[in-house]
Amino acid sequence: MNNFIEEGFPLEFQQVQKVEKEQTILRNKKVMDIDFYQSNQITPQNFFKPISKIFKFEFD
Amino acid sequence: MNKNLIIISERNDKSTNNVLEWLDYYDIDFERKNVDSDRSDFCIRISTQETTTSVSDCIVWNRRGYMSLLPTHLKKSEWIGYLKKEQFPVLATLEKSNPKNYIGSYVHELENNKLNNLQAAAKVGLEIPKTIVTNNKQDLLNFVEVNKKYITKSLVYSPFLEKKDCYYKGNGTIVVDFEKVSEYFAPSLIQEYIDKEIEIRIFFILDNFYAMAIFSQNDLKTQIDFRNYNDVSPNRCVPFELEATTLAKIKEFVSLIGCNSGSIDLILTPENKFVFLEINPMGQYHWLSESCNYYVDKHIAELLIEKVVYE
Amino acid sequence: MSSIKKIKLFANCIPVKGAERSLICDLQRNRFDFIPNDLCEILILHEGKSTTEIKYIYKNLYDEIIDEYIDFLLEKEYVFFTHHPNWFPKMGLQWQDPFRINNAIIDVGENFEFEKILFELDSLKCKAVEFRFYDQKAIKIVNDILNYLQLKKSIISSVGFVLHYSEETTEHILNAIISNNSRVAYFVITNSPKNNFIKSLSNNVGYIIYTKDVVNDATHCGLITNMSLVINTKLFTESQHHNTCLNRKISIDKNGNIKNCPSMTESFGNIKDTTLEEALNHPNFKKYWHITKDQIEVCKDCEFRHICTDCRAYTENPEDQYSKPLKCGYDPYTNEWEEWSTNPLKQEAIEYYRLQGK
Repeated sequence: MNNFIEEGFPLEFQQVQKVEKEQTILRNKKVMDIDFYQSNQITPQNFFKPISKIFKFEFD
Repeated sequence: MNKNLIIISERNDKSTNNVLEWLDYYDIDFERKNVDSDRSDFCIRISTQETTTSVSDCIVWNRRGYMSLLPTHLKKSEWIGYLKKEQFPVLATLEKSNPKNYIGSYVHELENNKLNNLQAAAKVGLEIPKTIVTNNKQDLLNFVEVNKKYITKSLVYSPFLEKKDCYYKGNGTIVVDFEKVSEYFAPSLIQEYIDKEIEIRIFFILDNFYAMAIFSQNDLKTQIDFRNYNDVSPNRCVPFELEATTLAKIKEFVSLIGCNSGSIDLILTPENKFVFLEINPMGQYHWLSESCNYYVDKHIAELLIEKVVYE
Repeated sequence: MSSIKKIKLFANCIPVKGAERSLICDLQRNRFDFIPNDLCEILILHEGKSTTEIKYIYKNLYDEIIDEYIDFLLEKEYVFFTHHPNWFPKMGLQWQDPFRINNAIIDVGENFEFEKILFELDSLKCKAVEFRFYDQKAIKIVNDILNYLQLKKSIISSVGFVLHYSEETTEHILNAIISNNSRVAYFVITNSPKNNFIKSLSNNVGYIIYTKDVVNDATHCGLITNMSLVINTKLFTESQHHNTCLNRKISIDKNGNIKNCPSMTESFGNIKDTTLEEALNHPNFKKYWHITKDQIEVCKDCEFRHICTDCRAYTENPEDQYSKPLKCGYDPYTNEWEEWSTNPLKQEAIEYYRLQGK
């Protein structure tokens, strides 16, 4: 995090960080439309527990 | 006859979705208006007898954003800066036309003046950090004491500058480095750094207050500003019970500044004193509700329903 | 105001006592630690007191051990010291959900009418669904399901698929489906040549598991291992009041019968002529929903009981609805995990459910 001082930039005290626009586009990519919430976009989420227990996964 | 329920929010707001799920559970109708996707009709009628608006007779929960009133074809207009400014007094009047049933406020969010808030907090007897607002090094040096730490934060808005391929955004509260101070600078707010035992975040809506304690001091990364999250080992966040006198002062404070919903940040010092830092009228509460298992969303739905049915 | 600080657990660190040892469940950071039962007792009985007081209560015979315990708890950030223990209430353990059904298992058989089923699940507002295909030609149906949900802007927003390994289930194909469909929560590919775990790109949603496990039908379900423990607030609080597997669950077996789960025998109608809503309203549909771990034999003494999802379909004593899950090999009285399928005491139940040789 660097102090961002450009000629004429007023906020010398404040630290700012630069965010490349590409990053935010990628981050926002996963959304879905769901009518129930009235024209809104939901980001996907996992259920809080396993729905079934039909396999036992063991790492090799 | 049930009143109409309007919820003003943003497309992506998760808390709003949770509240809607509870409204559906209780079989209550609602209309959602997202600032970033919907446009709303409105009208304000002013006469010698009275002022009525299109929301005078509704229950409104202004969770995030505001009701977007511009037609689509003007949203990309070069005049957008001007048009947005013209909207503002309209929104203010709409909010004021129904104060008992308009919960939350875009006006408060926009005009969230830290200086006013600090003074109001002091007025009700809350402790506040010693604060100076100045634009020159001389006054600043007269204010600071040797060997003490000071922090700076924005007065109202967070710094934001948009460029073609990137944007710059503020980093929140930071410690002042007096070596780097120029003779003259833009108006800046500097406060004494308050030693924290823990930070308290309070979310309130109408007469319901929910408090959470954040133990940010165990982690160097989050010591100054707990929003510099440590994703690997998050700070401990647990339910907190405000004692009666402090809670009473907080209630008086929000009444004084005319705010009926928002998030308040306090610090509990090692000497067990509560120090008021700031209020955010449209603060997030989802993380507070989940960490403490408070079910704030359910309570919000229930208080909205009470108004819808009984007002 | 006393100048002595008192010890307090962080409210989201909750001790659970077992027969021979206990856990501290860290619901915030999703982990746990074993602690001895006497430490558990101290935390449950004497939280809010000072170290001096606690040592005195144990007649100062265990001062050194108590100091060691407290060092451990402080290091793990399970406890803190405060002048005002009353400012830090316990976390409420209520569990509430606005939806009558919040998860479903759909076993795909012949004549799978996915539109009808999806429509009904959507009407019930069930957000999380797992489809299990066994040996079906799966990928086309997977795509049909996801396209339908997207088209209808369905509230079904977290979908998992259990498929057999085939030339259609390569990482490449599955990842393409995942990146085009935000609703995909996971793919589990059974009967694979190798075990493998492919992380998702975003927020843990959309991961792929390849497992060597041979899974041919619903009778393989009900497995409880130390890998299936889940530590979070939602499950922990649900476990206090409800059955952690069957609560708010509805299922359809491969013959279209509507059940609590495909492995159970009681049917509430067939999807051909009964709606999910009708089945849900049947007086017996919810009869297992309130059976908590605290009521189940052996489980009630197990330190893992609130971070485990139960199984009522396969139990050690098929006649007793409060008996321990058959496929759990953990013994809380010896603290050992054993292979359940070879346990001689379980053979009668295994035969009863016709699980042998599977």
